[in-house]
Amino acid sequence: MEREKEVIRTIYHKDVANFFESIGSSGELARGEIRCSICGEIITLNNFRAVARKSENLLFCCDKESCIHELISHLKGDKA
Amino acid sequence: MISYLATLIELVSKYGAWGVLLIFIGVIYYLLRVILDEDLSTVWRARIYKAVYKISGKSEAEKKYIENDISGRINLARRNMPFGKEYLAAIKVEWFEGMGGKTAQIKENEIIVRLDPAESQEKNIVLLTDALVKQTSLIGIRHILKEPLELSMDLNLIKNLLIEIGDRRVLDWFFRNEYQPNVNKSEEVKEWTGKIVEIDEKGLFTRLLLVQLDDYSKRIIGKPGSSEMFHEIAELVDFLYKMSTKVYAQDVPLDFITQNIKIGIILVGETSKILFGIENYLTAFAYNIQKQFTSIYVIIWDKEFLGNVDSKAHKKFVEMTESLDRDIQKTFRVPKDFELKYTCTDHEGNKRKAKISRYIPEYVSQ
Repeated sequence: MEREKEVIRTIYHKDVANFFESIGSSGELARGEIRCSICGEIITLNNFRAVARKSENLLFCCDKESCIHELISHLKGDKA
Repeated sequence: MISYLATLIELVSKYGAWGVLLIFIGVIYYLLRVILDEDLSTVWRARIYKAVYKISGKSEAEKKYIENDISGRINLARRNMPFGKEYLAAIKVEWFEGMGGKTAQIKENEIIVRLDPAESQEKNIVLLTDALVKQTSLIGIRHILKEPLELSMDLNLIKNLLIEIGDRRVLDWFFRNEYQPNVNKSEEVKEWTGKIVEIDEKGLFTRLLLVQLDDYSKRIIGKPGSSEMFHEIAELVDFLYKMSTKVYAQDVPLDFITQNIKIGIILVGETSKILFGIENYLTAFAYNIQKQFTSIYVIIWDKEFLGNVDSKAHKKFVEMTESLDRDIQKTFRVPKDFELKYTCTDHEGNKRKAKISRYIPEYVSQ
């Protein structure tokens, strides 16, 4: 029997630039227009940690432990 | 590793061909286990890809290693966790392959995480364990919980999963970067964490509190969250905390009744009491049924391990607890939901055997 699985999608560290291109945000990234939705720091290829979608908006997150923790907590799913 | 090899050499030198045959059978048995066990084979796949990555340095091998290592280790740990019921979902790590796509590829409420290189795997494991716990535990009640209590329960669950993984580098990373900074966030988090840890040390976090909260979430489906609901949960934690920190001969409440939670607990901890007979415990069980409790737990804290115990009395103690279980099911016709054996430490630091059984009376509609 197939077990219930939580699929978590991840980005390979060498594919970050491709990822931004694939979501159509590489221009904004290059211009420094993307900011961490938690601390406001400018997102770069090096400090990018996660992205989430909430109410149609993309929320980006930098690699500070406190920010990623906050983002995951913010999204914690009430699926009941 | 060396001790394994020494054992194998000893087997061969002592038993000759029979020793070789024995080792061969052992290897076949282990291989069969790996093949038939999805999580074990994932862990082995990870080891193979790790070796390939170390030799070749190829990205494909690194990706396969990271993905299989995380899934295999977290899923094995999750399986070994002592939940009364199936609790956390299994994890599946998938690489985002969205070349040429649009933002629509990211689903509402989905989080996509950039993982670190294979050399920082401990960080990757903690990150995804955190995501798994927050996405698949405390479902249906997160909107009720206030942040300090929710955070304390999450941290403890993540900690338990990582302990089960059994890699000290992973645990060290978690304690340094996640656990301590979050616990020190506020006095409230510190206080709730202290309570949750005490409950956990008595074995009642995954085996009772989370089971009961899962039950609770089913009872309140469709109801908007309220502060009364939060207080019910907070009081349940306090109730279990009092029981977990109970000292010898101290009286603590053994039933918990609120609008949505009605549970009774029968605590068998004192040898001298049960050796006189199980009637008092059966009377307590009858009282719980009469009160229409939805779950009745029988918790047995056995005599201290390794102490100078009276072996005759201990045997009698075990017999009496077994007959208590039989008599409960025979007299009250109450189905047993689960029974879990474990070890815990009492307030004096003594290691004790323990057993928790959950009974759900037939009048409770599941």
